[in-house]
Amino acid sequence: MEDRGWIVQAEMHSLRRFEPDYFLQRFTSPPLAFQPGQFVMVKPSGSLDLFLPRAYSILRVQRLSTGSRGKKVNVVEILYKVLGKGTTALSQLKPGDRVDLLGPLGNGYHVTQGVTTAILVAGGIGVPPVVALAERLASSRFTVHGSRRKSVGRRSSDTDRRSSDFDETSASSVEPLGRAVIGHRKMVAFVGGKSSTDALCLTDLRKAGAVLHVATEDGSLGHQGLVTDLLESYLRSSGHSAELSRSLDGHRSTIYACGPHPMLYAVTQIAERFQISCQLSLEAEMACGFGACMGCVIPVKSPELRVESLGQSVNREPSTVNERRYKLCCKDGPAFDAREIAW
Amino acid sequence: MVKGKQKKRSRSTVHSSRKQRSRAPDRERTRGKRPDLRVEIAGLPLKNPVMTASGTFGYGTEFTPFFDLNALGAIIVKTVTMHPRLGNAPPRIAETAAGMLNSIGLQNVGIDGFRREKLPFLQTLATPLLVNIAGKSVEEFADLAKRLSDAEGVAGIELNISCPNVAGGLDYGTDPRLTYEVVRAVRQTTTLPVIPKLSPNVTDVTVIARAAADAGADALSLINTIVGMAIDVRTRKPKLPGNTGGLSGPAIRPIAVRMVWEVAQVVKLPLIGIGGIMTGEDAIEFFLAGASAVQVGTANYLDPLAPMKVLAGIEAYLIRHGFDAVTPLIGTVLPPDPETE
Ligand SMILES: Cc1cc2nc3c(=O)[nH]c(=O)nc-3n(C[C@H](O)[C@H](O)[C@H](O)COP(=O)(O)OP(=O)(O)OC[C@H]3O[C@@H](n4cnc5c(N)ncnc54)[C@H](O)[C@@H]3O)c2cc1C
Ligand SMILES: Cc1cc2nc3c(=O)[nH]c(=O)nc-3n(C[C@H](O)[C@H](O)[C@H](O)COP(=O)(O)O)c2cc1C
Ligand code: FES
Repeated sequence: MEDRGWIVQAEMHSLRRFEPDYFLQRFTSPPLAFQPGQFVMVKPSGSLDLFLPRAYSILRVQRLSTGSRGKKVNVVEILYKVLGKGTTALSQLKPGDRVDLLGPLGNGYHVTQGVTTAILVAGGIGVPPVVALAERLASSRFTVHGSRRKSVGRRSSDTDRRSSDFDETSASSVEPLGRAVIGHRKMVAFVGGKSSTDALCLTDLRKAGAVLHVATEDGSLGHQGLVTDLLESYLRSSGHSAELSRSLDGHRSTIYACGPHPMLYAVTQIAERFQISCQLSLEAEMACGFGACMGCVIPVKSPELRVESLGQSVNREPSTVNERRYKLCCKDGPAFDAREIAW
Repeated sequence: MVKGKQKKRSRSTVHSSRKQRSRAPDRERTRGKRPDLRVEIAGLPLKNPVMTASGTFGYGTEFTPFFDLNALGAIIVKTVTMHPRLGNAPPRIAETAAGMLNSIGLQNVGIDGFRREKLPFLQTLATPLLVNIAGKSVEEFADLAKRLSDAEGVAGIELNISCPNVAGGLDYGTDPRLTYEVVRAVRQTTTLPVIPKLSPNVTDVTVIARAAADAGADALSLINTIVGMAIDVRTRKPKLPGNTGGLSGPAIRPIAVRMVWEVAQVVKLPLIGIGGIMTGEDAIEFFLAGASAVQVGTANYLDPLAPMKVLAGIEAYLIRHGFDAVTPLIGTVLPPDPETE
C-alpha cells in the first residue's frame, strides 16, 4: 500500500441515478493507483447518527475535464444501491459536499500469470470490482513480463479524458495493472440480477471487450434464471473438464466473481467441479477498513492449526471440519481464493 | 508539572502535579509560546496526554501509513491473552447512533505470538508502549505480567478486567474483591507500572477504583465499553450473534466523563479517561473531570488521524484559553452555578 494515495477528505463531484435506486457517484481525489477489487471507506463528513463509514468497491479512477475551460480533475467512482443509512446519505449529497473517504484499501483480485481466459461473474451490486477488472485487463492486454516498474509509475493522469459523461468510458482510459502480467486473450462476463434494471454496467463490460452473458430472475433481460446456470453451461460447452483443468483449446481460465453470498457459494462449487481457479470479492461488516478493529472476519479453512502453550507450539491437524481460522476481509481481502473460504 | 525525565517512579510526584491544578493561567507569559503538553502517568513521563485505546489501534503497524507513531503520548495495543484466541463469530460490528457495538471476543495472537511477531516493531518506537493483558485467572494475569516484565520495550501494563465480550471477562472488574486480588497479584510480580482498566458495567465504579488503588495500582484507565444490544427490526433478530456487545463512541462519553469525575473524588491516582473522544475539546472535558491523560478509541476507525487531531485540538484549546500546560487543567471542573429560584 506504500505507493498508493490515501485520501481522508474529498468532495463530491457528481452523481447519477440509475432507476430504480442505483447511484454512480464521483469524488474528487488526488490521482490514485488502485487494483481492481480494492475499495474505499466513505461517509459524509461530520455525521454522527450515521456513524461508521461504509465500504465501496472502486469502480474507476479517472481524470476528467470539467467546465468549459477544460480544467482537469481526478475522480474516484463508486456504484451503489440505496439500502440503508449509509447509501441513503450518500445519495443525498450535492456537488462540493465534503466526505470522509479513505483508500484505496485491501487487496484486489490477483491476476495470475498465464491466464488466458478471464471469466467474470457479477451478481447485482457486485458488479463494480468486476468492471474495474475488465477495464484493467483490457488496457493491460499486452503487458508483459518486466514491465512492472513502468506500469507502477504510471498514473491515470497519463490518460487524457475529456468526457464527463458517465457512459463514455473507453477501455483505454484506465491505467495498466501494476503487476507483471499477462496476456488475457479472452474475457467472458456473466452478469445477473433480479430484473433488467439490476443487470448493471453491461455497456462498460462490452466496451472493455468482454463477451457478455446476462441472466435475470424475472427473464426481463437475457436468460431467465440464475447467472450461475449460464456459467455452468458455458463451461460445459466450452469443453472445460476437471480432467483437463483447462478448456479444449488449451487455454487456462480464472474466474473472478463478486455478488451475493449464495451466488458466490454456487460459483465456488462450479469452479471446484471444473477445477478452475477462482477468486471472490467478499463482504463483511466493517468499522475501519484497514485492519484496526478486527471486526470484518471471514472464516477460512485451516489446513493446520497452531496451538501455542507455555512457549512451545504444537502443530496439529484440525480434529473436525468445523475448525476455523479467521482472516480480515479488509486487509487480507476483500478478494480471496475461493478454495480458502470456510462456508 | 512534570520536570524533564524522572528516573524513579514514585506516586508522590504524581500527587504534587495534581496540587498545582488550581494555579491560574498566566496569559502574559504564555503568549506566543507553545503550551507544555507533558504529563506523567504512573511515574511514566509522557510527551503528551494522548494515547490509543486497546483494541482500536491494531498493533500499531496499521497506522504507520497515516502518521508518525512517535507523536503519540503512549501506545496501547490490543489485549494480549496467554493463548491465541480466535475471537467471536461474525458479524462482530453493529452501528448504533453516535457509536457502535462490538463483539470481537479478544481475538489475538497470544503472549508468545505477541512477543515474537508484534513486539519487534513496537520496540523500534520511541514512544512508550503499554501492553494490555487479560487472564482467565489471577495466576494467569500474574504470569502474563511476568512474561512482559522481562520483554524489552514494555513501559507498563494495562489490565483488562473489563471485557464484556468473553465469558468471565467482566468478573474481575465488577467484583471489588477480585479486582483487589488481580491487581495485587500483578503488582507483586512486576515493577512495571500497573494500570487496571475499569468497567462501566457496575453500580458504583468508585468501589472498584478504591479496591484497585488499595491493591497498589499506579494509575487507572476508564472506561471500557458498556454492555448494549441492538435488534434488527427487519429480521427481528439481534444484530450481533451473541445478543449483546460493547458500546463505544461518542454515545458513551457522558457516562465516561461522569465516571472519571466520580473516581477522581475518591482516589488519588492518575486517571486515564477513555470514551467517545473525537476532538480536542472532548479530551479537555476529561481533563477537567480529573483525567491526566486520555485514550482515543473508536474515533481511530473513522479517521486514522484522530489521535493527531485530538492532540492538535488540545493544544489549540490551551492556547485559546491561556493555559501554558495541560496539567493545571486536571480536575479543575468548577462547581455548577447555584440554583436560582
Ligand atoms: C469490500 C466491500 C465492498 C463493497 N462494495 C460495495 C459497492 O461497490 N456497492 C454497494 O452498493 N455496496 C458495497 N458494499 C456494501 C456497503 O459497504 C454497504 O454495506 C451497503 O451499501 C449497505 O449500506 P447502508 O448503509 O446503505 O445499509 P445499512 O444501514 O448499513 O444496513 C445494514 C444492512 O442491512 C441491509 N438493509 C438495510 N436496509 C435495507 C432495506 N431497506 N432492504 C433490505 N436490506 C436492507 C443491507 O443489506 C445492509 O447491508 C461493499 C462492502 C464491502 C465490505
Ligand atoms: C472493536 C473494539 C475492540 C476493543 N478491544 C478492546 C480490547 O481488546 N481490550 C480493551 O481493553 N479494550 C478494548 N476496547 C475498548 C476500548 O479500548 C475503549 O475502552 C472503549 O471503546 C471506549 O472508548 P471509545 O468510545 O473511544 O472507543 C475495544 C473497543 C472496540 C470498539
Ligand atoms: S474493518 Fe476493521 S479490521 Fe477490517
